[in-house]
Amino acid sequence: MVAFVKAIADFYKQGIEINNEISYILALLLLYKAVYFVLGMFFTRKFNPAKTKHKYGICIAARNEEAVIGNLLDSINRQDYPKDLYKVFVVADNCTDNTYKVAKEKGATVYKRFDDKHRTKGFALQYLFEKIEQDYKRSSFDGFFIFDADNLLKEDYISRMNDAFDSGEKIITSFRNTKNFDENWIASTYALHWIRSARTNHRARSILRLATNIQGTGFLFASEIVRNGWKYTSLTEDRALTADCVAAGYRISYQDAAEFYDEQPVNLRIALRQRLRWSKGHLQAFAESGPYLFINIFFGKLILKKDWRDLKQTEDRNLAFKILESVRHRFASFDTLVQLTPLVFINLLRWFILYVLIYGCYAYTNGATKYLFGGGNDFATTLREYCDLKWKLPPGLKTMFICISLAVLYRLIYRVGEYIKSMMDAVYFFLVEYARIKKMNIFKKILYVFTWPIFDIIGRYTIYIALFTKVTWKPIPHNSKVTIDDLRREK
Amino acid sequence: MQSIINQFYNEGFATLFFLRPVNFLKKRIKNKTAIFVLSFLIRIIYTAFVLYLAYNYLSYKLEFLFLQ
Repeated sequence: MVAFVKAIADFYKQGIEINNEISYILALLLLYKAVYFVLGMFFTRKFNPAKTKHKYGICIAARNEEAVIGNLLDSINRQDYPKDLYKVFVVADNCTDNTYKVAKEKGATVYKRFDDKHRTKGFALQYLFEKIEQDYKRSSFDGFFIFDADNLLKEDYISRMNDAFDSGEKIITSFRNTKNFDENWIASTYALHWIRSARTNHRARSILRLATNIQGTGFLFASEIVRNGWKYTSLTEDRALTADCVAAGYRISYQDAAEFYDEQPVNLRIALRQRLRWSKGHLQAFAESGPYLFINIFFGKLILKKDWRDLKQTEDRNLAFKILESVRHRFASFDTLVQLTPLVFINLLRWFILYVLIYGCYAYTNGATKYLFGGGNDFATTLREYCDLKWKLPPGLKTMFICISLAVLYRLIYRVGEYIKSMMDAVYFFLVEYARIKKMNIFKKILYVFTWPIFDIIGRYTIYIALFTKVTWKPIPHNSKVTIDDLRREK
Repeated sequence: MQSIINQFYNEGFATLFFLRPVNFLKKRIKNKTAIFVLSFLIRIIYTAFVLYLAYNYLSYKLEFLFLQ
């Protein structure tokens, strides 16, 4: 046993070198995120007013949403877009309430679906697109919007999305605002998360003509995407669609001027359930589309899923365009792969192997010299300035356990430092999106700055849990009575 | 390019650190030349401020990434 511990301990210095190499590579690979952040501070893609008004289908999957679907349909009916150029389809999915009746009264085309074995939103959308094909033909629409029943649209939403669609974009997502931002701290963390997505991802990617990520609701895609039906039925159909479209060579744009509202969970249990589902869905999308994306990074459009191949687009373009397009596609594939990769788990594994397992053994055989507050981040350095308590520990089992405990403490210190830095992000979001964020008391804003980093903490732990558990889809209840008029008045 | 410059001086940070001070000046000062000169100065200060902020953020991020 001692020989085994010694063998592991001997690997410590080599382990540090390997870990450093991995850190450098990851740092280089992720550096582009900082560029996104800076670009997103100032710029987003702007679209010229559309020359053509396209015809759209609006698809809503609803399960027991009688409390909110009426308000959504009212906000759709009040769009400044010609009424004959959009049609609303609702699938009342396993409903036991009046969703069907409410949607019908508001003028939507409603289909009932009862299938308790296939419960995800993806299955409901699959059914809806089959029905649209049967009754109207999917190709009779230029594109389809996807919304959740709890959404509300600003009056010019479809017009602004049409501007982006008319510019030639095939898949477009929009600015997701929050109905109940100030209801409690849980809702506020979600609200800030959507703003972060727009500010640090969507805006920069739209400027660079890359592919941003679709986030569940509030997006538009060309009907060619569903020419063979809707095939994304996993726990997070949005991630699967994003990964598949990027792998197939599509870019995904973002229209900052199109704004819709969404209701966020206010109950911790429901929030945890939702985050666990997201995490599992991310992992599923990583497993399903990760290999395609990885191949795309190296082989570009040479190897694509055949049924998506559309070479006509680039046939008449010149060589410079083809090279640029190839670079764009490869980078978009890389970017999407990075998003799906469970990096938090990889980092945890690195830390555990090197600083708990190997360093524990090293301390057992060689002893150790340790600070009370260790680590390289700003918070740890500050703590050491006030208390630089340092021990020299002799080899032995006791030292091994002390060093493992200190490794956990250092990790906690590192995380507290990250927590403080993350709070600065919230301050930034409140400042730059001042005009679009619901008016609220300054003390609430301060509270939400403090609670915001919990969103990422939950995300991290749900990834760990999702790796080892089976997750089933469960509906998220929506009860908000807020209408689009209420939100306009509050601003 | 014009659209990019417009965004830089009209959205996000600019609403707080450029447009607000300029609007404040326009309300308080009547002399058009003074408004022009002061707006120009604020524009330069704002540009320098955000470029410094962006540079600092990027260099900090670079340093941080290599330190972790």
